[in-house]
Amino acid sequence: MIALLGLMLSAGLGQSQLPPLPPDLPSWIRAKGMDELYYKSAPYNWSINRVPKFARDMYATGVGHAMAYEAMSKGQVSALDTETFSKIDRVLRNPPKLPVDEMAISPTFVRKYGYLEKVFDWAHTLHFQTIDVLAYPGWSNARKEQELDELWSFYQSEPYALTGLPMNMEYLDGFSYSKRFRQQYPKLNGLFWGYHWLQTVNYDMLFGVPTANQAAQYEVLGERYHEVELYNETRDFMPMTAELSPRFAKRFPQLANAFDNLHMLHDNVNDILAQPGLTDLQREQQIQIAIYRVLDSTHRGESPGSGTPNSLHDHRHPPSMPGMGMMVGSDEDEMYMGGMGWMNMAECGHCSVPMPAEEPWGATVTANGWTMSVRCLMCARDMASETPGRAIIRAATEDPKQLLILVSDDEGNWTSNLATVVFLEKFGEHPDCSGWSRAFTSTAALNSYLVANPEYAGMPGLSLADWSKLNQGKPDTYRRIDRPNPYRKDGEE
Amino acid sequence: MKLPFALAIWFTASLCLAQSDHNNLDKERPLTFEDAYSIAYRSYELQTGFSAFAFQKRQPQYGLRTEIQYGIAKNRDLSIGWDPVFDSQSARVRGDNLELSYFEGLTREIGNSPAVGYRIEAEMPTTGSVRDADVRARLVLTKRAKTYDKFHLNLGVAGNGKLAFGAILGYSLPLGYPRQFDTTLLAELAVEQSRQASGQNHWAGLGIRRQVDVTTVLDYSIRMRFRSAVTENRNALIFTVGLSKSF
Repeated sequence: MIALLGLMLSAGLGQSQLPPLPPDLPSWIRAKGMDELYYKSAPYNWSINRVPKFARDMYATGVGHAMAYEAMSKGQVSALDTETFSKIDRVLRNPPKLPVDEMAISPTFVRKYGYLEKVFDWAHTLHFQTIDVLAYPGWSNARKEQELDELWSFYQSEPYALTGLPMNMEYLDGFSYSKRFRQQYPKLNGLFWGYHWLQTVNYDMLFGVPTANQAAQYEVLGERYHEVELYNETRDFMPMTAELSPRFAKRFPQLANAFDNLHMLHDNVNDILAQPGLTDLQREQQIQIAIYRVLDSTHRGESPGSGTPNSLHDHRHPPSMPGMGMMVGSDEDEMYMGGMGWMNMAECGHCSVPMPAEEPWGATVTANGWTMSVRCLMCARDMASETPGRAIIRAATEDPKQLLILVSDDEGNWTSNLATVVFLEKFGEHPDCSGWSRAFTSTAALNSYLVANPEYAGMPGLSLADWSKLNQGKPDTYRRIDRPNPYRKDGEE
Repeated sequence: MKLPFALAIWFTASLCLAQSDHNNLDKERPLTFEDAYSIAYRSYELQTGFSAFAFQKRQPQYGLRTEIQYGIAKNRDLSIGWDPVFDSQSARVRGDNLELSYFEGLTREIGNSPAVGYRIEAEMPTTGSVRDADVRARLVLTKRAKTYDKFHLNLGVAGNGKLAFGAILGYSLPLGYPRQFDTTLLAELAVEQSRQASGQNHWAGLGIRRQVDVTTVLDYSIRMRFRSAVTENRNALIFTVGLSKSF
């Protein structure tokens, strides 16, 4: 009797806490047409297939989304972590060679929530076309950057477009139904967050990277995706674009924010569909409200960096990262990152010295499922060596058009995309490391640098093999931010 | 000897151009019916197909239908097509008409209600008077059957003065789910009033649409006209192979 009373009370409380429909809900949500849209016509379309394994994994994420939504729409929630998980997992292990029409796989979902599918479909088109631009071999980096800005405008021309403003993730994940899905169905939620890991980690794999050097990185990332990320049930929060592709997120904050807002909408929808005790009408209304929150039209005229904290219109972002909204517990540039703990995004992830404001921008290290920005190549190498498994370093050289891509094997042996790469490393004070630890595309380029910077005169250029053997250990400037995990209660880890 | 050579050239050229989605069903690709959805807004689609008509009581005919569609707005498309037929009995090509067609999807499937669309088309003679144009209209309903399969009811009326009615019940079933996602099986059963003679035409057909790359669908079908108002057309078998490509 007490249990029944408790159940009724909790159901009643849950429903009374549901937010009401906004008065300015866009009229297109009630439109009856299919409203199918074609992607922007361009020569780069389907360049994703230049990285075949990545393309197939991306196509499989569409199947995974659709199968899960179909099961949830049919009320088959009790089988989500068993039969549905297994069915999807088979597809993920044998991904399709061609893109799949998600609507054909989720007919019940589309019949019930066709307006939501329009939002998803249009944002997924943006995901894919962004990848296509970056994977296209026919254009310079500058032309690609221009096209991504145009693609963003093209995307925003439709009413289904999501906002490119940073949104407060704590607010968006703080409703009465929130977190239900990840708590009740950790395996299926792990798949969703695995897809979103793949969909956000890939942008730094591609951005500014010569197309010939993109597929090699996916050998590392694809392995991680299939072996760990899809089955990771320990994440506290969904993967964020700026966490996994910080260079891309900094250059294209509107795209990074839109992808994060899309992924948060997925989380909201999962929570709503998995929430027991809601009527069909309540589910429909809550999904419409969740869409409304992240639509571009809801936030028109607002600007990044503004807004009331922890509200719908909170568009603040970490000062050093415009491509990410404020996270749970985050304070200025400090945020809690899965697998890393508290990090300061304005500082080098290895030596804690502030990132240089001027060029070159330093490097990023991708290993163990995370990506960190570091000040110099020494920090990148030593940070990668502290981490088990394979790693990728993407680093600036003296030539802004030539990015150095280093990929390691399990033993820490590095291969480079630049055959003539030469390194400078004259160990000194960390605040100056971006001066004395650098990579050059050739010996001639190194010599020019030494002439321009006489304090390093006489330093030999190091080959990749010699440079790889060095290790300067943990820097004495490193400062661990000792704060508890904000996603767990009472310091639970 | 010239015809097979020309067909080979056409087929090769089509492969180079071709694109589409095997789930979206368009008239004549490869069966007669279509679904209640337009092509995507802003997309172009080239569709082309070769058909061989085998008769019991006369020499075969060969058709080479080609059509270009454009999504002019959300849920609306326009198309222009040409459907020449080579009659081996008379050794003549018939087909100086152009088809102009407009399709509008009125509603998608919502809850238990079917998707509804309509098509209006005119077959315009390129020689002669526009008053000779043949006008046709078609109402299309699409409804999910069990899980992924769908029924498509096409109700048509055609005529220029004298009207003829027809109905096609189409069925589509994606094959291979949840392991494969590139093939759809189609079937149709049709009845129409003949416009050449008194009586009705009945036919049935089976077809396949198969995605061969991200933008290309290959289709093939066999239809049997088991009842025809025109005696010599009775028991005709129609084989079709075609391609759709969007761009």
